[in-house]
Amino acid sequence: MQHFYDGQIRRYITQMIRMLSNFGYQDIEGNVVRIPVTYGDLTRQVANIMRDNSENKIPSAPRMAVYITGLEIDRSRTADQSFVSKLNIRERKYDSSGKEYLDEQGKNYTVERLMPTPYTLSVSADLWSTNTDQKLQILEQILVLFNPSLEIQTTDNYIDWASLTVVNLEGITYSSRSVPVGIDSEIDIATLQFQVPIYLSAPVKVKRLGVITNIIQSIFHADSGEIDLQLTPLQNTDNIPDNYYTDIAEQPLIKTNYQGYGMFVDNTSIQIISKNKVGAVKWDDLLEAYPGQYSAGISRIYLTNENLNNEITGTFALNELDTTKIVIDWDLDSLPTNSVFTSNFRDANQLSTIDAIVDPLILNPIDFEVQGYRFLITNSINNNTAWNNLVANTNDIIEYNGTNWYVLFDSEISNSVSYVTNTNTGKQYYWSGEQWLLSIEGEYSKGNWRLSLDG
Amino acid sequence: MPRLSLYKPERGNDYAFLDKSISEMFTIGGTDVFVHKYLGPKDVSNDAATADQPSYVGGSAETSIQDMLFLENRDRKYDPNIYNLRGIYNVQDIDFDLSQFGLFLSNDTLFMTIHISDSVRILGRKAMAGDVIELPHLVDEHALNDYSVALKRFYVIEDVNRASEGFSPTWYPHLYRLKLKQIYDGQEFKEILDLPANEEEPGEGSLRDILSTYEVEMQINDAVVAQAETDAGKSGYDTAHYYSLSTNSDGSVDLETAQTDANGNTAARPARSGYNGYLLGTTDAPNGAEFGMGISFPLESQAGDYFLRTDFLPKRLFRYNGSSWTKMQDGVRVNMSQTDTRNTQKTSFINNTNSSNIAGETINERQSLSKALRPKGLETDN
Repeated sequence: MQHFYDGQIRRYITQMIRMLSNFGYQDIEGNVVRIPVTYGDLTRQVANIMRDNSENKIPSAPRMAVYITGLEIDRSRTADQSFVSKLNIRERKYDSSGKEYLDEQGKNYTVERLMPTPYTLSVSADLWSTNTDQKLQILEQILVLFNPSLEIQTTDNYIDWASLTVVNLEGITYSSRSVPVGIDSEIDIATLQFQVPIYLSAPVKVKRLGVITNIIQSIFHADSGEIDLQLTPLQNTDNIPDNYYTDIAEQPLIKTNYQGYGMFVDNTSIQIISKNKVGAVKWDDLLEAYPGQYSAGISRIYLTNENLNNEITGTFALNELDTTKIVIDWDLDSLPTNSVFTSNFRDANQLSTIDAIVDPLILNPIDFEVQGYRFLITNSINNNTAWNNLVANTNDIIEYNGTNWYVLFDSEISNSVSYVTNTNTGKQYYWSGEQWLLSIEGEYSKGNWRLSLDG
Repeated sequence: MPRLSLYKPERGNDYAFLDKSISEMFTIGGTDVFVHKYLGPKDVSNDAATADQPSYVGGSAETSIQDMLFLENRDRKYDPNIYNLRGIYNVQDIDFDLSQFGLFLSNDTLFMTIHISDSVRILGRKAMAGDVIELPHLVDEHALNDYSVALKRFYVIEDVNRASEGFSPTWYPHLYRLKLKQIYDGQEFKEILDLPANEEEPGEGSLRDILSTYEVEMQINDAVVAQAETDAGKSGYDTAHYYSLSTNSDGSVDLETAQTDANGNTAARPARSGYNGYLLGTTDAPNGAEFGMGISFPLESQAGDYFLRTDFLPKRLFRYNGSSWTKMQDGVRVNMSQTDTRNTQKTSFINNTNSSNIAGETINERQSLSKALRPKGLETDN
């Protein structure tokens, strides 16, 4: 076991001494003398130091001593020992240079607390007094506060759910002396016996704020009685059709997140879609509400859709000139893997790329007739002599085989998703079955994005 | 011829001879004993006197009793003059008992003999319980402190009897046997311990300052209380460093455009704290926002402004919602130390210096339950 110690019982004694401190007695001239309260089980060495190592020092009286007389587990207060309570805390931003908290949001945390163990702490307080009137003055001031208990707290930490307790006055031994006194001792000791129900806690776990930001809900299949994960997820629940719930078997999953916002990606810029309107919401809104602390260049966004097998991601920074936008720096490794377009004429390492996107009607290809060279064309070619009488359609990928241009990717017959990177610009495109689009651009409906503000 | 008898009904020359010889023996072989003579309990004013704690006509004497009920003299007067006697006692080894409060001498009871005639002549009366004696030969010059004066040794007389060894062949006693015990720093010996530690420089602290453990005990007590206040400064829980998010009715974050920066947006001031629990209310606005304070609301305010009304008990923080001031929270967190200003419901009955003017008469609010509204002539403010 790793060592841990939080001084929990020590703090209870500290608070007990505080509770009994600052009482006094009044002499006949009206002087009020405070009564010192100390811990009762002191060591001999410290005791010698306190009296200056001299037998001529004289003790003071009255005074009080607090000491522990027992510690027992309290079975009546035991509860589920495996219970873990979670507390979500947003902290104000701390200015470490000025050493002060600012009026804006700082770090966010989730604190996990394990069920503490209940004990009963028995504590006695001895009151030494030199005369009866003095003793009664002190007792009256203290005893009036117990009816029958006093609250104490070991900390004022909001996290510490075991800090608050009560001190119950269980008994009083009025005097240590017999009556009559006998031959000795001017000093009388009255003992107050207290019981304090306490908890001893294990350390907590402090984590980054773990509130739920995305909900993916499985929909029960009414007919089969099962949850069918193979059906197409619902992409947009902004406008749920009237027959949605009766036709629910077709919609097995519902994803949602904060305010039902979607995302619109335009190259390296992302805007929030709220109620089908792009850019209606400022990013401050989202960043303020979301767990974690936004840091430009460190905070990260994740996006996905039905065409992506994996989440794509990148770090972002708020566009200070237009706070409806963030500027993202994509992690290229997270982008989809390119499709391989097999060819015997091109370098085997470049089979998933094209060299340029061109309009064949305005480009003279003579300068590009290099074996393995590829174009994605934005217009059709119909027996054009410049292209060696090639016939190709808009969106086809054509390649030069050393003698002629030929169609490598026929957009008319391919309806599967394909990805290719334009080496001229470094951008990746995907074939939707109808057109080539930047692979990451477009709308991402609610539930298809998430943020990690702490990076 | 009269019969031979050393005993005589009157103390004759034999007695006088022996007494002088014994006195000389004390002068030669005894040690100095400085006596702080007990003069009686301190006088009570007629107003404060009660039947069982009376004020003595002409002032109290050493035979007066301060408290007729508990039969104790706790506030004692001592003669500022110091009387010098000679005494003899057996020096004994002592041990310390470790008690809850430190070291106490376990066998610190001394039995000292003094000369009766000399002591009565010097003191003006017989030595009595309550007299305090100082033994100058027991000063400690090597105590572990930074004082420039040696620590004196004080004892209080608990009992006075005739010493059995003090009877001469005349059958008359010549010695008193004093039962002595070391004094403590308490109410009873206040006058002695208030004396200057160094008679030549009376402004440099009292005997209490150097002799008593009280000061170091109070320092220890204060240190523990300071730690307790660090651990839990006030009752309830501290959420001042937590951030409360202002939200709209639909749960979205409530943002407002900063007036000074057209591009900047800032979170609106929350209408309530984001944290719930026992005794969280403070007099500070959420998120450290600025707020005004006073006994009446300001005339010009903007929505989201906070204002602390100091005329409420406990003080109450309000927030202006654009049309009215709404209560946010009460400052219910208080210092849990038992200070003279602690003002909880219970302690407000004790820490109370208020007074009221009732029909032209100033009446203290705090009065003892047994004395409040007693018939005139019997009441005493407390």
